[in-house]
Amino acid sequence: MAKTGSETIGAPGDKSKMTLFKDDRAEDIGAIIMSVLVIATIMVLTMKPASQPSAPVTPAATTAASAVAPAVAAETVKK
Amino acid sequence: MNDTGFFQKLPRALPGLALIIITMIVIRNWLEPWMTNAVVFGTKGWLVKVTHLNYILLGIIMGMLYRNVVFGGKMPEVLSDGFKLSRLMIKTGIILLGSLYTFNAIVQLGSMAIFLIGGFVILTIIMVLWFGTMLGLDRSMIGVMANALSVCGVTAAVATAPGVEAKATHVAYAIATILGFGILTMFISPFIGHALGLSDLQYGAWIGTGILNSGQVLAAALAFDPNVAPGSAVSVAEIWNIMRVISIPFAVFAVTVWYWAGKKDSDGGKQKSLGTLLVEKFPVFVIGFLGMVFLTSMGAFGDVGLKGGPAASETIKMLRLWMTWIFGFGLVGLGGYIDFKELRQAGGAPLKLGLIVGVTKYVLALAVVFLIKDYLVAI
Repeated sequence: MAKTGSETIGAPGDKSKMTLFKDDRAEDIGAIIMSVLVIATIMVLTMKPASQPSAPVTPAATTAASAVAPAVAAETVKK
Repeated sequence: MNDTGFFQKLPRALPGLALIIITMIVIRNWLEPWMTNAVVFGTKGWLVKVTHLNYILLGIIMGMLYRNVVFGGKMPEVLSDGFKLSRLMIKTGIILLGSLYTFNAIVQLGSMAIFLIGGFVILTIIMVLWFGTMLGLDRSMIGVMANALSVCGVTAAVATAPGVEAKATHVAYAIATILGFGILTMFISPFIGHALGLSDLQYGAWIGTGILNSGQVLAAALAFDPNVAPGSAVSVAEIWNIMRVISIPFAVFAVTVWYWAGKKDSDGGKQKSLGTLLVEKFPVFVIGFLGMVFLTSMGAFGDVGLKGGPAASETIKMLRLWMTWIFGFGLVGLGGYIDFKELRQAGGAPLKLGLIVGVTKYVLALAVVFLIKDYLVAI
């Protein structure tokens, strides 16, 4: 007998399938991928912006390396 | 047959998908608020308070109207591919629903669910095999009906068909019978639940056991309580439903063994092993659901918002909001698959078998939930 995948009522043809996927298994994997995409989108949307250094940003602090510097200095002071 | 890939078919699905999305946007932003505020028979919100119509039921009704009234019984070619995405959306929503649970809650709730679901699956299969034989139905028909009525509706009927040499008409009768019964239960269950004063926990356990089709379990749960949160009707119903979905390969194997055991030697044998059936029929999206539970348990999305604990994180809140939309889209699509002409196909002995077993299971599940209500574990 021909493999029945996800046919709805009627003949097991491509047009009568209840899914755009090849079969149920492919649809399941599609749902997992879609879930991952949804979660990734939500995590990006709800991601809190990185905390800004409290000290005023000087023109020299526009590079990544110098932006870290005030935080390191603050740690040293605490000790 | 031209079996092109998913991504090649996707552009053709856009018109149908757009109709589904627009329908749900109109329902949630205009129709549902209007119904909540409309004064009917001198009562504000009568349409919602008395009919319990919410965006889920309205979505299904709209889908049914599109197919059976607006388009005269058949989805136009240009829209049909979009409606075929409905099951993808429902499965995606169920995977995301994993964010309502932690493993601890699943173990607590699931152990009771496994016990009851297992009992109901076995009893229903035995009942259908016995009663179907008494009615003199074809063995293939009985096999398909046994799993359709015991496990998970359409998926189980289709999964069982190859193992019991079922013809397309057998599958069609079984699906038409369970869908017809399921539509009835989907609409009356919220009324019964509210009339009996069932809690979300009791209602979820009842419909998770008593309603046959996964999509209809989801719809009936959200129709009772549209809230998507730990402890809500949908969170309870779906964990019970997942337990049932997991049992598909075992039920397919049991019914296939029954079918071939009673078959004449001359017909030849082509039994499949349990291992083969497990690999072929295991619903893979359940792994996605369990993965989601794992991530939630590990705190990947922040606080879940369990009763007595800290409030849900922004990520979890947004996830739940998106879930309601994804389910809404999926259920408009599901409504578009309910064809009144096909439901009329179910007649005679298969319908009698389906109704007797379906009603028995539905009522028995309610009785059992009442009996064990003190033992049901809330999450």
